Amino acid sequence: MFKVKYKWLYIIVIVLLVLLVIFKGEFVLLKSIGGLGKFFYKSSIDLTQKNDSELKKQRDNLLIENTKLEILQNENETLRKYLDLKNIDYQISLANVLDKRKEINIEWYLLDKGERDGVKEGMAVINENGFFVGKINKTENNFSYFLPFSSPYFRISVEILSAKQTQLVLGVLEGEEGLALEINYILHDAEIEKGDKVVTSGLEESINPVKFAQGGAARQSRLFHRVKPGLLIGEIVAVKDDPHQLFKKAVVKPFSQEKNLKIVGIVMPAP
Amino acid sequence: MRNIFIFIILFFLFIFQIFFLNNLPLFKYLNLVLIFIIFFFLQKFSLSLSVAILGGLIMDSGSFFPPGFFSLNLIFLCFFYYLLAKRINLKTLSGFLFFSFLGIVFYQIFLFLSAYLLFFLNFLTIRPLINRTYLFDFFYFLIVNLVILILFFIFYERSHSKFLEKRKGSDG
Repeated sequence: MFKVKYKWLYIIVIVLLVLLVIFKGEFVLLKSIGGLGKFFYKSSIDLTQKNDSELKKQRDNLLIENTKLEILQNENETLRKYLDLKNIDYQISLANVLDKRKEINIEWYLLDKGERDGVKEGMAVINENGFFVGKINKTENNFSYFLPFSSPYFRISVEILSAKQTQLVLGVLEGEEGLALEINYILHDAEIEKGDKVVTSGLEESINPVKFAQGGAARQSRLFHRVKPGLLIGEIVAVKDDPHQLFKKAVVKPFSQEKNLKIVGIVMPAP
Repeated sequence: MRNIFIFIILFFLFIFQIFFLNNLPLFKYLNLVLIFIIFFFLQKFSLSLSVAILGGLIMDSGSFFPPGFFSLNLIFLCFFYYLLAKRINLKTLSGFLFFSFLGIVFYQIFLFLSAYLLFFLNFLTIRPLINRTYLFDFFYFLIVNLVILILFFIFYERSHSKFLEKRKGSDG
């Protein structure tokens, strides 16, 4: 039917690919081209960070050298910030971002830390300021993938640190493209208002940054959260309270934008 | 030898597109693998099939989807395009334009359906969604790739006719 030379070769390749899918083997090619990919990804991020006039100036050799130093300095500052974060009572494992891709509306970041380094599915990812930016969604031996909170597929249980209410206010943060996120499933009697901070509740598996009080008393753990709150996500900018709906909704402005990430911190469980 | 050289260039071109161009504003909609698969239908089916395998493997590296997802999809698409190309005259601009349009639309549909299938088979933890962003991306993807393919076709036709003219001249 199809006129192809070396038909057997194509058949072998297709069979091998099917086997690869069936056995979910870790992709071998990535290991070899990972370094090359990282180089291209970093170059593209550097390019987008600079405006046109800066790019034109880069013709000068001295400026190129200067820019390189600047990049190194920025990286150094980012790493220093992560070192400052070490004072908190959870461990951070730093990971390089190898690539950012979007296929079939699913956006993900590829990190150079995997199961071998103790990374597990569901772990939180933070930026250099300690703000929550996403969570690990898939892991391989040497690599892991994280979904940013701006992804429409993103869901996480959050706690609203209400100034008025003494009871625990929980909700589910849903990812949305754009500048704002939305919290759903907030109980109607919860008193929340503009300016209230939103943190990870710790109810998510593997995403608990603070040690919950022994015995599992919810109130105790909540108090512990108040003193040392969880991972900061953002603050409430609007509350949608419809009396005909079962739950309230809140619009959240995140403290961080996950664009142009180069180094991220993976929150590991406390030793 | 010529084909090996072409494939080495394509290998670096695809890596450049996937890791570099994918992060730039408008270029992120560009898919050189798909463009070359469709474009090589003007020449040889086996060339398209080889590009599908090479490009698919590169797209699979670092992909969130299970290994082999893109390569198998592209190979399957290649056979589908073959059947499609039999019914369309690719030598005319309108024919090639129609073929490219269908090719890009079917690429998106195939990827979406196979991602959905993987979700149902528990290979994928995320259920693909059709929302405003998806449709927006779909539209931009179609426009950008279609424009590049038309440019490729015009360039190919011009160089091809010049080559034939030269050949006629030298024969005469």
